[in-house]
Amino acid sequence: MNGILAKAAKKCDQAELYSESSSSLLARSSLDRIEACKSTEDHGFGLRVVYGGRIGHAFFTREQDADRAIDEALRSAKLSHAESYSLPPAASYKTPKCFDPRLTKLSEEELVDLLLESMQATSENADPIQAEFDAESSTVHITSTEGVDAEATESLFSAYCVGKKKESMGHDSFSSRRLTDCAEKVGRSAGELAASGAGASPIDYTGTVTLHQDVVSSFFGQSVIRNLNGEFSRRGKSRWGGKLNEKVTSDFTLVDDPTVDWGIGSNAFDDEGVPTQKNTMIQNGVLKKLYYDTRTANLSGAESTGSGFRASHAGLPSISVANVTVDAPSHGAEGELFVRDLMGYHNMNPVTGDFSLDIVLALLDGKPVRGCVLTGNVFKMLEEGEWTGKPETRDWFTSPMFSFEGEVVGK
Amino acid sequence: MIDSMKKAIASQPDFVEVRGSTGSMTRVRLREKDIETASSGSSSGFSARTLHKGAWGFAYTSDETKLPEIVKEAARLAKAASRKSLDASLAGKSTAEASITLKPKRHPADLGLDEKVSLCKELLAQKPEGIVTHDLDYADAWGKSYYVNSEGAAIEYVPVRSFLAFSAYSKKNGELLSAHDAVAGLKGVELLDNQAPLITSVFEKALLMQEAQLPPKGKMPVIIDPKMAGVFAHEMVGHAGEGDTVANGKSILLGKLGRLLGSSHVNIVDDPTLPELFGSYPYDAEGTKTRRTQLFKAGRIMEFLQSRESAARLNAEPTGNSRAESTANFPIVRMSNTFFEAGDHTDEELFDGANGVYAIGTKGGVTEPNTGYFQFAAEYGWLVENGEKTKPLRDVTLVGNLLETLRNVDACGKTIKLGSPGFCGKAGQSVAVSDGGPHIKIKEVLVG
Repeated sequence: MNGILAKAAKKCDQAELYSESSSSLLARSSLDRIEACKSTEDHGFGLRVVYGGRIGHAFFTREQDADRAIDEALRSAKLSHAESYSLPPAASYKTPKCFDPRLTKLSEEELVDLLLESMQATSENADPIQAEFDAESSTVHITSTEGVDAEATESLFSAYCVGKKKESMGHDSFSSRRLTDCAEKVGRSAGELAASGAGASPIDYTGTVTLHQDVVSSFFGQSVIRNLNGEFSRRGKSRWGGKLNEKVTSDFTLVDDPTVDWGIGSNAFDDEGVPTQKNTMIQNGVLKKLYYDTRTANLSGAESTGSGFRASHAGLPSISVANVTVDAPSHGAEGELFVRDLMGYHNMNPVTGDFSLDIVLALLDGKPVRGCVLTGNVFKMLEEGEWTGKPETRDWFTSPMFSFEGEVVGK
Repeated sequence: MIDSMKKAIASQPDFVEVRGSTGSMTRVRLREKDIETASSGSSSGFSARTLHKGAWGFAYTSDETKLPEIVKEAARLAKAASRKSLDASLAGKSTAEASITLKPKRHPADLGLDEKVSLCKELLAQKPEGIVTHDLDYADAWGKSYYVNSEGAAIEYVPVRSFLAFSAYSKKNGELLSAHDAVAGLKGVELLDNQAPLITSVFEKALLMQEAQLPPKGKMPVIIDPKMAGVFAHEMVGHAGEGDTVANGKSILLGKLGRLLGSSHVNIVDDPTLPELFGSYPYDAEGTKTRRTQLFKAGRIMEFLQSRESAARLNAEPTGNSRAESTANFPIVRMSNTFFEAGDHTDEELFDGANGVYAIGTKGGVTEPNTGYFQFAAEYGWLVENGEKTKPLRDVTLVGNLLETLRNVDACGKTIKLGSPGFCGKAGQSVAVSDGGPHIKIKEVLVG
């Protein structure tokens, strides 16, 4: 890697090499049978160069393609927008726990055992339709001419189960940095959700609606979090651009902390080698910070929040969240209508917050509801509603449930 | 490469197939006239899939020298999966030997990054007053893909794809309003030729949105444009007609093959053989030669989309719809170019005396294949009163159920428009597809 970096440094002002190696083992079932086991081993490089304050980028899989990638990255830098960019400096890191070596030792037979256990649990309430268990590990190494030399290994264990009762499908999932005894719980939950939705019908309804944490998480991902993106703010695509230290929403606090042990988004550094940090984005409804990677921070006159992550070695860093927690007074009462699953979040308007989403599963006084539409506005809902129940962590997001006066259009 | 792959699978006792790919790509992203990204790169990947006692083993590597190892690894994994196997098998045989090279007018490998950037910049007209910002994304990809199996198939395919997307944003009362369009196909850099009208129309739509209102809510007659007709064909019908979804009991169409489910105007096709469309390919990921599949004919369901594997489970013929996002992914049943066929009405006849909503373009859609419930977001729309388009609408969402909506298809236009491009997601994999159709009048859909 140092050889590639040294060659790039001779042609450019600055250079950074991102190397990622990953491996995974997966087992999958179909109906109540084992369908397949799969293993992968992947490796790739992303090369970022700076020439006259301009950023260039190229990616490659084979080391023998490095010379060509250096020339391509330099060409791309010469074409790019002049923005006085400089790669981040060397830093020291405090590494949270995010690697469980047991996941690299898990055998395909053990994964098949987990599948069988989950299918058995699903079958208590519904027909098993699909299950998948996946153990992954990856090592990222970032080196740069500016002295960055950051390496970290992380692991991910994930489970996904689907059950069916009559026309109703139920699915549940679980992800963790650690090997976790979750097969029976996830399998049973999928079966229970399928059974609870059987015989659902559409309704018309106006009244108190309570949203499950999964639904709250999706609303936040599609609207609140998007409006905290520094790049969207810079380009006029955030409702909260220019509103730092202003009250922008109701009295909740939103914190993103990648430094906690075993968080699903925990890391010592982001994919630019910037140390991660605990970020309080919203405090009691007041906008305190926006997310930045180094490039967006440079263009905005701000500091990186350690939030530059890559989808793979082939992509440039872009702004992403890690472990988000919503902290709020939680004393709302649960409504008659409990919404467990909606679909079509990507169709909602992230800036205005207007939504019109199809109900996949809801319960009205315990009776299943489907085939109707929950309409409203996320930001109005947050102003007027109340947090309900105890906080629960679902992958990257922790919050209580949320209750508000809502409207369902159906019949 | 084909010889190395044949050597790697020689003397394996079970069915085994190896897929490989080597490729290059370019991405250009313009934020207004500034280049945010001009990036290029190369990649390679190889995978082996083995069927042992009704269960699959699959192994992938990005390292070409490890071909023999992944063949052995797939065999080992298949044995582990066969403990309580699905009893999977393959319909038909795949023995094709072929070498197909696409020859675009201007191959992306022949143009430098600077030339592609210049062509993109030339498309951009002066930003009209009222436009806040705009984004242009261009990408092209080319390379070789290989398929070899133990039945004797050996296929080499050299495709070229390119993609152009443009978005513009306006504002009213602090509210950001967007418009978008895209073109893509099995083409080279010539895709960028004559696209200035696309840019202009997106600017016009973004400004029109300043006058747009939210739609009325409730069930009402709806006329959909060719792009939205494509979404209905792909999302509402196509996903429920995928053979693996049917075989796994996840489709509302399970057990309904041959039944009359829709009005006589419902004629829906999936066709990967159409030249130059974004979802086209000559052989699928199991080496099956592709063909046109008639999903619905005059309201009757005729055939499901099949891989060799799903066809064996459903006692059907493979249709050439086995696809994978990359060599790292399992092949699964996917659509290609999916569309409503033309009807016999003029567009004027569809609007004549109509009251309701005219839904135009798409911001995406989702369907639950098991219940048939769907939700599609139009890019924008018009309120239709006494046959006239009276007020522009935004945030138009259509919600309904597949079986009910198929019965409610009232009339189809004479002129179809194909090739609206997209990337379809399923089971964590994204593949290039296109869709389309004519203008269609539907008696009643829930507008949200």
